[in-house]
Amino acid sequence: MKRILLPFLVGVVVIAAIYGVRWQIDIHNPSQRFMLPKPHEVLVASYTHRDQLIPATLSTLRGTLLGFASSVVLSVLLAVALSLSRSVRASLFPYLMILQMTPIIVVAPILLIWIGPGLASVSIITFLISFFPLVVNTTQGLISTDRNLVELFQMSRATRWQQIIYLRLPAALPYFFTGLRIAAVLAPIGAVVGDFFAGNSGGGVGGLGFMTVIYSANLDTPALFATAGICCALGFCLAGAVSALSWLCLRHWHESYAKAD
Amino acid sequence: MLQLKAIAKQFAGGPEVLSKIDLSVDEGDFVTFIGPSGCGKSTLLRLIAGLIPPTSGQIEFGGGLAGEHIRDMGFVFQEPTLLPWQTVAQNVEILLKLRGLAAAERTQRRAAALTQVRLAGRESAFPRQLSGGQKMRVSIARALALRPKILLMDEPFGALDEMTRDALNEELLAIRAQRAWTTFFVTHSVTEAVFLSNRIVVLAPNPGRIHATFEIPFAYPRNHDTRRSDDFHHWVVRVAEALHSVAPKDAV
Repeated sequence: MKRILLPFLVGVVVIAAIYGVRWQIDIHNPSQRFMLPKPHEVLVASYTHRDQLIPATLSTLRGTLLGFASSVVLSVLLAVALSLSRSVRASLFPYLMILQMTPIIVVAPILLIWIGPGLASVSIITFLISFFPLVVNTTQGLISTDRNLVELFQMSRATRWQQIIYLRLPAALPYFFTGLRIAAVLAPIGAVVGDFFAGNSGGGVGGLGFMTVIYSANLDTPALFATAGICCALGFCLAGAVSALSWLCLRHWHESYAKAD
Repeated sequence: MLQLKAIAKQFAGGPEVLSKIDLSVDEGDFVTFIGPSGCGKSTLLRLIAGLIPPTSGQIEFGGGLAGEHIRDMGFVFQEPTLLPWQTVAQNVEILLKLRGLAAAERTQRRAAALTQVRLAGRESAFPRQLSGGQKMRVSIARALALRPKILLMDEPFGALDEMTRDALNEELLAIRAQRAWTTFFVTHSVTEAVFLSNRIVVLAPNPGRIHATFEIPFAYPRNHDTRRSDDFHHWVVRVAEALHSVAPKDAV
């Protein structure tokens, strides 16, 4: 009971606080009231703008999933390559760092010039943002395998490939999921940022990032808040899916899922 | 027969770990290496396992230990060293799987090995659900499933409480009575060494070398009564004294 009641009460207090602040703005500075929409106005706005928001959400979702999925596949492949030897790591890591340290708002215009606006650019930007935590964590997992287990496999004359499949990859799963959780939260942000720069308006509707450009030009704060809410919801869904997958894969054996006795 | 001929080992840039180890072992022997830290016991085991090459000298496998059997050495580590994401059954079968044995053969060997270590019925448990002694039994079953001619054990019972350790010692000898493999065993416990082995090799440290060898005359099978005999204590004292004389003076 306590577990449900407390979060519920906190939610009520937060919403009431927003109404309270808005009420004070209405009294003292009514000309600025457009700045903070009432929570129900945001709900109304997300309904009245549904003809824009639903296709925009789907478009962002496509970019998110495409970028996220490709970052998962490529990061695991790259992590396996990086785990093979110290010299491979030493020669490739600097480029990974460069990729990560270049701000997306600098990369985006370059991509836009190279391949133009649209799903491809949005996905690539999403990919770039979620790639790094995945590679770093998975590589760390692949090279942290129990020394004795590696010796056991060597004694059995296991091939390098068997060692990766039966030992290193499963042992790296908890690390991989740590990276995946971070990537799942970052991916929707990447897609919206990508969309902001490279959303395709050709067909009349862009993704959520593109809608943000339009709504901010119109000072349509309720719609902006509605868009923000949808972005968060996307992140929650993806992070939730990753948590569920992690539970499925690790619950039997990993300490993090051990019941406290 | 297995012969170590003038084995020496030095890791790159480090001091000599082992120096001029000569040892001849008969098939079916239970040989225990005992000695203070830094005497190279574990290194010696890894050399025999072929995990690392000697810097000089030779290891020769002869008679029934030659040929294919070198590949089928069982190794039991100080830790159970199980794959935590696999069940007991999968853990026992993993090495057989790596060797490409058919599923039916694997199942049969796994069942036999788990029965030997008295863990039949726990096939679907995960390592996390087992006690320390049970995990060690799984680890031993995994080595037994290989049907090894040579079994290498690196302080396998060191982390267990004394009761569990004594019980597992007796179980190990009981299983060995059915299949007389050749054993190389490493321990810090003199009592354990005397109880299990027919040969004890006391190693001196820096660099690791053979200080003394003892032939323990008790007939197998040995049991709890063996431990209580005066003869047993006599041997424990003799080995302990040899061990004491090679311990570094500043160790205590």
